[in-house]
Amino acid sequence: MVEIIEVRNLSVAAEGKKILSSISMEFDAGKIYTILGKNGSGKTTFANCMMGIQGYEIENGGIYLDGLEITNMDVHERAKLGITKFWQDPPNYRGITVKEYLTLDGRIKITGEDLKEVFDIVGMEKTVYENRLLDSNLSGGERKRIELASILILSRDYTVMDEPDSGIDLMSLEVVINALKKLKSRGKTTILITHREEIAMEADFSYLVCDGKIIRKGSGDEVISYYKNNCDTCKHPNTPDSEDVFSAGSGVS
Amino acid sequence: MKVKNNQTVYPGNFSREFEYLTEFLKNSDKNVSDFLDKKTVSVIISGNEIIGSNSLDGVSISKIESSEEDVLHYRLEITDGVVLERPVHICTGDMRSTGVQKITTEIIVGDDSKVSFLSHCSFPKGDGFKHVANMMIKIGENSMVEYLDEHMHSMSGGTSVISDTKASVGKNSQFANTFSLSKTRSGDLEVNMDVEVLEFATANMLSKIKASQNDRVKIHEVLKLKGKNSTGMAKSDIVALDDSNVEVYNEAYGIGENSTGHVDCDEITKGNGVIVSTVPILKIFTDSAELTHEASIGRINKKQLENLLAKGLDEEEATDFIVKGILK
Repeated sequence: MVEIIEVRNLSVAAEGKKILSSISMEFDAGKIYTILGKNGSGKTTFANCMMGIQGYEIENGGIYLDGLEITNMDVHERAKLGITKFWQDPPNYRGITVKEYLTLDGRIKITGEDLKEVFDIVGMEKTVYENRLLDSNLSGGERKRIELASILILSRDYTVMDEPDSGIDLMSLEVVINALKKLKSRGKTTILITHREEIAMEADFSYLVCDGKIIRKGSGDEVISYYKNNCDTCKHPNTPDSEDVFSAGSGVS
Repeated sequence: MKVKNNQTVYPGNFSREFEYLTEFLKNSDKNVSDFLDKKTVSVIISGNEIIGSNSLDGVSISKIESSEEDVLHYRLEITDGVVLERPVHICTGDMRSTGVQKITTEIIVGDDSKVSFLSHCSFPKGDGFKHVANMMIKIGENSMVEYLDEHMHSMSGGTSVISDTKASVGKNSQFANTFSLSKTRSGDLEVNMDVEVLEFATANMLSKIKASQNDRVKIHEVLKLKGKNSTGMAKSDIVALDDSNVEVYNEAYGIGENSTGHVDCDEITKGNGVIVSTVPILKIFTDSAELTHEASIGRINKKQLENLLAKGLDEEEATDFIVKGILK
């Protein structure tokens, strides 16, 4: 069981442009973390770097899993160590049924009863969906629920979720929250990128990112409150004024 | 010679072909024992001989003398108004590593009939082995015919197959043909389909093929929409890996008034040595005909791959998972 992931002074660029600037974070086991920030602040880059997705240049710093540096490990190696990722727009797969996807073509053994429980958590009817094809006939919302089901079945120590709540209705927000709570009850950690206040409030700890820097960190309600009061109306998104933000009371020390 | 009708003729020496088929299909949803059931019309071919068959009322299986040496020529005829509940099973096998198997098949389906065919072609030991199949399918009026041809070749790549099919789909009939070779190496494979579609009839052709290592594949599908209001589609789903070479030619001809057709080729590639090509040809002979085509060639979707890697599959497992879905 992984106890802690540390991000130490991580600086990342893509196609020559700096995206993350010397960020440091810690993620303890069994907690819910949220990463908040406006569009273009570097949240998705962070999520991709946590999973080892190619296409980024690590300029400085690193990522450590219980002290083991994983910065240069590929996606599969990280997955084997207990990290997985929820994509903002999960891909479809031609010719693959929902059940084949959830069980990775039978590699994951799960009873019909347990599968039904997972479908119930994500608000889907097992009998309706398990044999449906995971193709473009599914809506974006259905696809996200199925991805949540996959995350629950995988039940990895750390899950990085990139906006599972984008483009979904309020009822579906409850589904995401229930999934987060389920993972937490199993001692699993979720690192969640979100814009939604309802979900950010569930976090044990939050980070606020602007222009690739952490400009605030603290409890979920503290950071979301700061985000609502400042970032929503900010005239210079992703170009933080250091005097305004870094001097704030519960900001980065 | 006429193979006995309404009677099972199994001399018992077909076991090797069926043993292989049973092993091959053990994880599928197919029940191999159904193929030998007396309620199933079946033909079992080994080498250049029919070594077993079973037929039902309205179905006849006849061997025809061929002027060419070492060619098995047979006819499977279904009379008017026959509806078969179970697919006709055609098991064609050859367990030799070398040699040539030549088979000429005539399938004649009468009017107002409904029948499907399930063909398994197994050449698992080919290492310089060649299979040449010529098939003629003639479908009467108001009938529905489905033909699924699943091939299993040797994993050494030493099987060479040439499959030529000419089909005629009668007035108001429907014909669907699928050629599938996705679970083994292809070896050297050439598939030619030439289908003429008469008035108010429909024909759909689909090829699902995986080529790997140094396999060489050539697909040539020709759709002749001759009849008024005839419709059809020629589609190829290809996965080309490693150093394989795949050529796909899809042709459609809109000849009949208001005929509509579509040709479609998707080729997924993985490997620096892969060479693939797709050539669509569309031609209309009346301004009321309408033909369309789609084609794509590209690598395995990166996002699909990364998503599976993040779930713990390695790259080979993830690729197999994606390919299996595409070729299912």
